[in-house]
Amino acid sequence: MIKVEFLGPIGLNPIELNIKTINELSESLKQISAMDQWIGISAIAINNKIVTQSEGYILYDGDVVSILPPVCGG
Amino acid sequence: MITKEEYFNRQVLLWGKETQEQLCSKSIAIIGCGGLGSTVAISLGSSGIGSVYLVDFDTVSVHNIHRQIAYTIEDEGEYKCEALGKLLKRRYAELNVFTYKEKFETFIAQEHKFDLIIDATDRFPVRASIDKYAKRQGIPWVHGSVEAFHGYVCFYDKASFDSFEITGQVPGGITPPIVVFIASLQANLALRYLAGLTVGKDELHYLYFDEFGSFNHRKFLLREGD
Repeated sequence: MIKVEFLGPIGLNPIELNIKTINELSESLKQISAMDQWIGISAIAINNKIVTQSEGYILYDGDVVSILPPVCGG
Repeated sequence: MITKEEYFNRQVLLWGKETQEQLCSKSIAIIGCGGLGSTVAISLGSSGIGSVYLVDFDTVSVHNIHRQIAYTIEDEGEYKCEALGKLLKRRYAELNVFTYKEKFETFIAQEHKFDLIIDATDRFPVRASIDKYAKRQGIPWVHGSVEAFHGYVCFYDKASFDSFEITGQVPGGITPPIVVFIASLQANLALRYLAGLTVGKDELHYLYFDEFGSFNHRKFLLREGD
């Protein structure tokens, strides 16, 4: 199982998913209505390392995925 | 007459006279003179570094002043870079201040030489441009972004900003303390680097208050650029 945590103002409780890829992660997150405003603009980290969706990263049992919201202001 | 020995007494106590003296050969560019830019400029402008390039095309508005701590009501309508530059000179007269009332793309079309860039902007596309420019120049940059009760800080060296190349986002609500807090971390990383001390590079710091009011600091590694 993969643990997914949602940081900052996303404010959702962590969930566990049985997935193998970032694409599967994206599809799973689309099923969560509270994620609508964050999908496509949030960064993704796997085991505390930022990754991009295009890297085709493979997820392994026990991995922790972090969803990081964008912060624009300065 | 005020001497450098007197002015920088507590810094010399921290890192010695030699480190303090070599700081005066250092120069930085601060891109954006709003909330983050104000705090970073005040912190670093009186540290003993030699030159500061201030870049911002905007003027001071009343709704800026609560969090953009360099400005007062009397500055309303003045270019931010010029008002900030005057304050920096009042705090440390030997600092060289250069002001640019223009966009970042116009600024980098001219030839400049500095040791470090501070990102104090409020747009992702400008940050992406800073990253590309810094890589071309072979110098690092310190990213900062802040709103609501959270923010990011990163000392970018080899890592790419492409995980955050987002368009269409505009700044949201914000209060003064979180701006000063995020900018202070940027200034700390910058000053350690300029003073020749060790700095954690290409580590993304995410700082936020959660829904329970607990403060959180998370650190993420970034991948190197292509």
